[in-house]
Amino acid sequence: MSESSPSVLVSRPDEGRASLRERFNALADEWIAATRLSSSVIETCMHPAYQQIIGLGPAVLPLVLEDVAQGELHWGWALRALTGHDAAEGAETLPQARDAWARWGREAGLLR
Amino acid sequence: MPSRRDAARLTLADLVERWLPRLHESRAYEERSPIDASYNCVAFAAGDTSRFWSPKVQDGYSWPADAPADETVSGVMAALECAGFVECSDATFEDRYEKVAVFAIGDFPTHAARQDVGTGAWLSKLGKEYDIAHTNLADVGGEVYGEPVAYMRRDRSSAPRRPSMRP
Repeated sequence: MSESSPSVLVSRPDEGRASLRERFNALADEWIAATRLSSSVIETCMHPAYQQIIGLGPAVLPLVLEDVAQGELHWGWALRALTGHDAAEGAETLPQARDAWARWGREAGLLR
Repeated sequence: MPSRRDAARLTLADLVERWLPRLHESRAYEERSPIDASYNCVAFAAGDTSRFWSPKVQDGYSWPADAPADETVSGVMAALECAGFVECSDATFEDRYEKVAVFAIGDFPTHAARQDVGTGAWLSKLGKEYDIAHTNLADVGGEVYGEPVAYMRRDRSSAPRRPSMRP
């Protein structure tokens, strides 16, 4: 039996990051596919994949914000849950809310 | 870089084949607009393509200020009433009126379609995806959207009413 390499036992930070990104991408893709025909916000944001993304905790924030910066409009609920903050307060449309969160992400140093 | 939603895009034909079998079978539909997730079917039925109507009014969603924050068939009907629609008995084309149909599964509202006042065909915004025109109202029904459960109409001769919205 060969000795285990330490890298097998202790994951490096960049490996954790890659794994988090993979997990996020899989869940976000599942969520988009499953809710594309829904007009309901409850159905959209209570979808199990969306809720699991929230469950990934604050570490997932930069990845959600990347999606926001690329145009996704329906991350507001998750962002409020993850940050305890409402950057889009008073927004009347989804593009306004998206832009408010993207600004917040840049100001918080979470989004380039 | 394309957005995740853009990357996951399906053609309308693929989407219809996967989820709307009646429409796939009839083939009596056509695309009217590209994918746009910034408004939904209820907003579209009311003539508003700038907002995503939802009784949950945070995060950029909005809802008529005078309608109860209630995601039920009667809640959606109250929202459409704020845009000038009143309940009517059926989906029959009447030259004087613009009609909408509300679809539901149980009491959960799933979809709203608007009748094209020029042709009598139906116009549907499919969730966060395309706007389509379809000849038969029931063709968008089935497992995803259930069936039409209520009909409303507004007089074409009066100017469309823009409800005040929350937030």
